[in-house]
Amino acid sequence: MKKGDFVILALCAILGLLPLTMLIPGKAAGQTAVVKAAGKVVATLPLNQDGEFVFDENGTNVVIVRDGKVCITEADCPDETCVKMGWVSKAGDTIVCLPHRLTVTIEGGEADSDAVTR
Amino acid sequence: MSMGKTRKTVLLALLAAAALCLSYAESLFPLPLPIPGAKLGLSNVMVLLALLLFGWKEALGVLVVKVLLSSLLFGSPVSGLYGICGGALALCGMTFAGRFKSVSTIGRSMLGAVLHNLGQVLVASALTATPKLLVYFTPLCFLALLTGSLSGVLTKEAEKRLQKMLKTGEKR
Repeated sequence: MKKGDFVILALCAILGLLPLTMLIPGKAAGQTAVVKAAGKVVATLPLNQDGEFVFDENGTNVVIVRDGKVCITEADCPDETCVKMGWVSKAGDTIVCLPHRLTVTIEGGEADSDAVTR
Repeated sequence: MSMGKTRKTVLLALLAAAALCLSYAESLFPLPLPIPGAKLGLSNVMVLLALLLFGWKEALGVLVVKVLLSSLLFGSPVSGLYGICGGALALCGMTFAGRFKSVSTIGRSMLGAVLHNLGQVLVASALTATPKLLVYFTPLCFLALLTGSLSGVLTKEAEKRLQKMLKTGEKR
């Protein structure tokens, strides 16, 4: 074996390990948005149904569901961090409005596929 | 290598025939490994020999004849697609690696084996629209490094003997 052979060996080994990065669990698309106020579930919104929802628990937050994504578009809290968080759609993603103790969490969604080649 | 056209044609036909036989023999005796599709890749020895003795065009000819015949005789159009994609990618890599003086036949064979598997996994994930199949490349790649180096040693020895044989044949 010559020097170049070891270079090939090393390059191939790196190439071979690359697909393993795909095994790092990626976030699956969620199915529902669970809205909680002060820890209590106040609404469960299916992501496949577009709509606009107003929550008045400790202050006003306007939640919009569109194209499988959720966003808080308006809020009367002082910082409006929840509005700035923008659209979320992946399982586990959360929008939080701390002043109103309101959270929108995406749940569900295992999009694993099996296939057979012959 | 300089030789008569007939000699060249006969030798290439022999290489293609040997490649076809080897790929069939391999399909009869699958490796006792829990990885489906894992093969020794011995027919790649013949393609690499054609590449070493003649050039990439001749090697491509051997490859196409081998894949076409084996998919017609023993396989399916899909297996032919796998074979041609893997083989063509392997041939590209082996040709390219030949430009470097520091890469020996063994290194070219290893690269060819790895790329052969990569091509097939890429086709498989494209045909099934399942990118996750690429994960399967990891065990195949490391196995290919092993089988590729073994068939590289084989190729090296075979080439030495073939060159000698062809030289003595030329004098007659």
